[in-house]
Amino acid sequence: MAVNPFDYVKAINEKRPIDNHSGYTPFLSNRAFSYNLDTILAANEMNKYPDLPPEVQFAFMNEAIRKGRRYSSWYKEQDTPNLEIVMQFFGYSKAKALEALQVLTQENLKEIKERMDTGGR
Amino acid sequence: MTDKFLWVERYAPQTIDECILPEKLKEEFSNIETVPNMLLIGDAGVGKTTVAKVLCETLNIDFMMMNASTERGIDDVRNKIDSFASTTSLTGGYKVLLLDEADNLTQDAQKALRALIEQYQNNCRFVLTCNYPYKLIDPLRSRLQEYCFTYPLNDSSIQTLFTKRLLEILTTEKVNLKKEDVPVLKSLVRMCYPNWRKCIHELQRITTSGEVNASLVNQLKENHISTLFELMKVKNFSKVREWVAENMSQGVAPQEIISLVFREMTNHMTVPSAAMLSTELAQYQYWSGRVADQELNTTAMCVSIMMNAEWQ
Repeated sequence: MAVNPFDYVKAINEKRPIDNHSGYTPFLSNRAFSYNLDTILAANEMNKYPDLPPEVQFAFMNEAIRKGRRYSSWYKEQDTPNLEIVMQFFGYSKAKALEALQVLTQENLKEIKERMDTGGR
Repeated sequence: MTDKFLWVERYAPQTIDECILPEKLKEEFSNIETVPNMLLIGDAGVGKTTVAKVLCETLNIDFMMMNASTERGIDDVRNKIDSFASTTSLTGGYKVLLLDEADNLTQDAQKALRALIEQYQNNCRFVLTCNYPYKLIDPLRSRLQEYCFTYPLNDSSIQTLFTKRLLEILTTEKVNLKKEDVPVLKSLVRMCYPNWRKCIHELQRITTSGEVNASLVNQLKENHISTLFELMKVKNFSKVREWVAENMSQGVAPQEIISLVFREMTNHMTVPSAAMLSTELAQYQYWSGRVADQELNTTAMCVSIMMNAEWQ
């Protein structure tokens, strides 16, 4: 039976073994453990070796992390209005578009939107 | 069409001679008569894409640009790249496919691209740019000639050249310049070096009123990294975590954060402590291009500093 990726996080926190590693997503687990001071360095060790088999990564985390209850709220990226339109207009990546957005004025954005408007519904 | 809004587009160099590059690199690009299959490696904003475009334009080559951060899958390679590379140029000669931020390509897309490079070698050349070459598979890298955009640490001659370029831009834009603005510009260049894109963006931002607003540069300096050091000093982990996540989501590159920490650490911690930590930070810098999650690696670096630094 498939296991939810976050069940592995719970299992590591409880130091409970899981036999089925098919649903283990190292990126998500490591990200989850990056929100706690006592687990971030262990998570970063596995972050360095993403190509290790999932069962090895799970075993490492299960051994390296102390049993405990950990709660954390994940950082939610703010929606950036006009990001898509700037990416499309200049052919930029997200990072470049975010930089450009800090320079573009509301008037510029209005004009860009008008230029990008191809008509129709 | 795009050059109306952003100075980085409007004042982009038109020839290799106009590009501000390390001497050796400039010489190599000046001597290129036929574009080979190339991989341009370097941090954000150092001029990789600009050089690639300038080469194609000065040599009068048909080129198509693709950004692999948005078109990164095997379907994009099979459809878009294949149909471009398989047709001949209308002007005769070969064509160039400029694949920006190629380190975002998926593994499958990289494998497919490797085959296309071989298949269309007489018809099309491939110029790839990337920040993290380790994310590209070896068989792909071995088919490309590599050029590293490495700038010497705090090279004053390059910085002077760039300051002159900023002054030219301000003169063309008819910004009201005063004598005391020159140190402000120098400080801006020093702060952004070698990220020229960021430097010009900031220049545009601080001159919106028609004159150089020095307070905005100081504000930029303060916002940059001092906040992070303050948070690390009081060992506020959750705020440090949030700072890293927020800055990276706003497009600040992890390499930039690490470089700034390197540059500023002696202003915040004791000299022996900074010296001891420097090798550890170098490790985080080394791993930065290789890890799966750069946000996690950057936060882990901050935690190491938080735990081990002796603050002034």
